[in-house]
Amino acid sequence: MEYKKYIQQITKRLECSKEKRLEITKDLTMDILAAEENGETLEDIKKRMGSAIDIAAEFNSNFSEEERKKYKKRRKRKKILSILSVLAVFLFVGFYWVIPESIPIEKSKNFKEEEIVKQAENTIDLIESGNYTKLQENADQKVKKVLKAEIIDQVKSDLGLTVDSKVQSFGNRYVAEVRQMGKNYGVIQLNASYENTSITYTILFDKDMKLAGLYLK
Amino acid sequence: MLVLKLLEQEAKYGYQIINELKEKSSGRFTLKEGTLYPILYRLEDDTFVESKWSEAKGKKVPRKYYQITEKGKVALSDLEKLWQEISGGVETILKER
Repeated sequence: MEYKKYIQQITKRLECSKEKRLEITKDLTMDILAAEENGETLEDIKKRMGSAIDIAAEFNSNFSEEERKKYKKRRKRKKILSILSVLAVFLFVGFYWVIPESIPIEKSKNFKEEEIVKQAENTIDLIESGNYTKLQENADQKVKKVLKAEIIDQVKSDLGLTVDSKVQSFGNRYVAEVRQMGKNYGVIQLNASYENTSITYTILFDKDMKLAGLYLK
Repeated sequence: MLVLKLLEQEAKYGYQIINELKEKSSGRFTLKEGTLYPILYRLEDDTFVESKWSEAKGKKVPRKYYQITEKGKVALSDLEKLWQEISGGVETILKER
């Protein structure tokens, strides 16, 4: 119905509370229908009442202070809700961006299982032999900063590894590609058996096969 | 004052008030909805008038009727006295030669 669009054009411009807006919608609807009953066409009515912008402006200039305060409060609440919604979307997207996404190694386009296994065994060998310089050379910038000799020695000691400890055999392993925060990593979790202990190595490599993460337990 | 006066004898709805005001003033006062309704809302907030929707009868559109209250009648009487004082004063000045 044409008159409904006309009324909508008016009410969307009103600076008042929701309740007042509904009241005005009803009142204007009643007026227009009464005018039509009286023989006026919608064109006559629009000509008499004026443009939607003018009518809304007239209403707005005549609202009480209380109505204006309610409108400002509602607008503030709406603004806060909009900001919160946008924030929620960002958090949602960010949350999923941070959660690692795992891709089976056989489906990986960036890494090969054999290469990851080989590099992991090489890394373990460097740790065992104490060749931390070489280990750092093979690491990315972030890991380089924390790969200090004293830290690795402490970890080895805590896990029961000595200077002479050498892996006797490798057990179960899990290899995959992981995507996190827009970056792709090849990850391997490898069980290594020693004479007196066993250690699970979790090693991450970046696309250039640089050491990007190291975790021993 | 004029809106209250129009409601003095009987309850009326918005469109009716606009038409009567125009007719009785010979077209001098043409109130638009954007002005009339805020006046009616304020009169209602001040309890000078009260509104009531009529029941829908057949195809007839239900209407919101405004009726003057006792408090509204008192306010109207005060406004009429004030108007008489103002218009009397204006007339006196205009009659001066």
